Amino acid sequence: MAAAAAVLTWGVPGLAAAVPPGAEPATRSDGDEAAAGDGRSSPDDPEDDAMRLIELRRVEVRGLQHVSRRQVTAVLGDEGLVKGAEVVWPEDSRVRRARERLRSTGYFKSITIGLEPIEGSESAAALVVDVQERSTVSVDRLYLGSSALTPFRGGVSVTERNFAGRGVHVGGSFIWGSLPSLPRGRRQQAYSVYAEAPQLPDAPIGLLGGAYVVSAGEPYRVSGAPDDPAPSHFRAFDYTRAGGLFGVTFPIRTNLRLGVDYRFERVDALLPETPAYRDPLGVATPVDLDVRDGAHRHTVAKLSLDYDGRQQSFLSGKGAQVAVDVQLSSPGLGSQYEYAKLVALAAYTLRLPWRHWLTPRAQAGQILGDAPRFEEFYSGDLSAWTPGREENLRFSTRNPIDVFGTGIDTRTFGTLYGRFDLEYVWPVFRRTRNRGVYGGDLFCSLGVFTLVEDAAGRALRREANERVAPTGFNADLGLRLDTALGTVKITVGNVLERSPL
Amino acid sequence: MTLRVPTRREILAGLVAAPVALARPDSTRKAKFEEVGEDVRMTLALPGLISARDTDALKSIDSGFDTTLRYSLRLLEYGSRRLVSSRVVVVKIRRDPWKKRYVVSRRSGKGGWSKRFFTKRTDAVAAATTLTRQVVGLAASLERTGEGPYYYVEVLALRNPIEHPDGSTRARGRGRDLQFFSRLIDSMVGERARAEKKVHVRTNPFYLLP
Repeated sequence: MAAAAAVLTWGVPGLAAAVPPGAEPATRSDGDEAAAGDGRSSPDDPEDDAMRLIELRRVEVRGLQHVSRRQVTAVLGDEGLVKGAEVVWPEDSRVRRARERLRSTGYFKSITIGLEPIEGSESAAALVVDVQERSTVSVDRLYLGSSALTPFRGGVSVTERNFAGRGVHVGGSFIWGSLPSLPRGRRQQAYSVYAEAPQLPDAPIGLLGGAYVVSAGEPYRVSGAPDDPAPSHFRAFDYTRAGGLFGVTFPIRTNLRLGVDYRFERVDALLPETPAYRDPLGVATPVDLDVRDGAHRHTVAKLSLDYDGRQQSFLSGKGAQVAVDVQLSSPGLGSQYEYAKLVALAAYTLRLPWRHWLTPRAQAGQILGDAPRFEEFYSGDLSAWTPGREENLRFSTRNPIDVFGTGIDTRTFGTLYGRFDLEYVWPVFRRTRNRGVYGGDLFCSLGVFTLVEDAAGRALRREANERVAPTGFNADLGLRLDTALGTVKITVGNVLERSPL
Repeated sequence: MTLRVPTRREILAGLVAAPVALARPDSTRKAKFEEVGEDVRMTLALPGLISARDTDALKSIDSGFDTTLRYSLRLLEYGSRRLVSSRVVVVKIRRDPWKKRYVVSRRSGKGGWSKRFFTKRTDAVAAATTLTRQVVGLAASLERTGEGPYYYVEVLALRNPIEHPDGSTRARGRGRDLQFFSRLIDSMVGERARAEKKVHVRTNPFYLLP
């Protein structure tokens, strides 16, 4: 018998400085005695509950409030868990898969799939699915901020992800700004609604449709240095956009989908007769506002291809995303503008050995032709520290902060942009059963971007011996919380964007 | 007293080490270690894996189907974090709705299943969430001087590990305009829950006497 016999003392060994706190010697004992506990072990029980087939005499779903029974039974049916079927007891992979699939819908806080015996039978039972629903309403965006141009702006964007218990997404949003600090400026506001069936029940396509109204007072510079954001150097011109869109989504593969959209809108712009910019030396130059005067049509056909392998990144530790958007507006499509717009993005996410995530991401876009101003690339959308457009409205006259001294703070709109970012995510916690907060991540990001103006703007920059493609710097740091109502982000950039700097 | 300003190299090393250090287990738990024959065995209770207040966990046990507990054990050398050995223990707990009793099954590595039966749920839960005299390594693979080196065990325990299914239909929603992809956080990827409940602890250090 190889086992040693004595139980040794519980002393702290000699080299006290090298001893980690709480270190104790392993005791020695002989034999491998049975595990402690009150339970009887299996050799005493010849009638052990070996695996067997159980016939499902009925299937019950309990706890439903807004989710339809059909949605739950469809998942069970896909796994063959229907009345009359047999399951392997006490463990059946179909039961586990059904639970995971129901969980992945995002409709439930908890899901228990169990068996209730049928009296008098050891081989028949009822399958009982007991669920506890979570809210399917999410707040996508909360607009709240202040700027030197607009003292207050606020609004919200909300989506119901399971409208009428049919898995249809229905959403709406609005934003409203107070009177801007501009002569003859008007309140800016926007409203939109949309509905989307991500996948039709009987066809491998999804449909979406929406409508919107935008009432804008678009600021443009009339005086001051090009990097001076004081609203007194700006005037505004008014335009209204009212339109709608419909689209079809083709899920080509699990991670790859193709979207085809058509957007149509009536634009009604009231332009000043001779908009001009007078520089600090007193030289006046005409300003092209990039919008047609009066009422006119703007239509866009859009093709979008999106491969998103990040769903698998949780399992494999890596995943890529590639997305391409092509927009076309032309008289042939009923538009009074003629341009093409291309935006592309590529990202690769990988999990580090210590389970944090690193994502390099590159994106770029170009516009060919004469796009209206509200379709051009905006510097605020590229910078993490300055306000971007919200519901397509500009509420600030700030340009990006010029960290490198390249002149990016003098650029507002462009027809070409590029951006590269490196993002580091530090998962803090994850929960499946919860009281409203499902997870939290700390993150930080670093990046650079550039914005290039249209041909006329580029010519002026060259003439003034300025950089055509100035470089801007991006960095952000913060906490992201996944909550029952949506994503809450507390970031440095978020604070800077919303502050009247 | 003078404070020394850290060098750039030290600051950089600290920044690199911080995430590694913080990715370590959540807390330290007291375990009992024994040397039995050729094995080093550990007894450790993790009651937080199935809390008496966690109604969802209790409903899962009473459902009649198995609730799975997966323990990943790593025996490490204290200080250097050198991996000495690792093993996985799977425990399944359920209520047998016909015989009205609780069954706790356990398997270590590729070994066979052992089963125990209980009439009270609390006893069954206690048995399932306690690793009793669990082999964590071979004594021969550990140095024995009586004064270290010291060892400890890192335990990652998962209740009902989640396998995230593919093929959930994604909506395009408001993310249609790629320009707003520039909002980095919106498209951020992060960790997803690995299980219905996760407990990640390290034990107190121990050493072998000569």
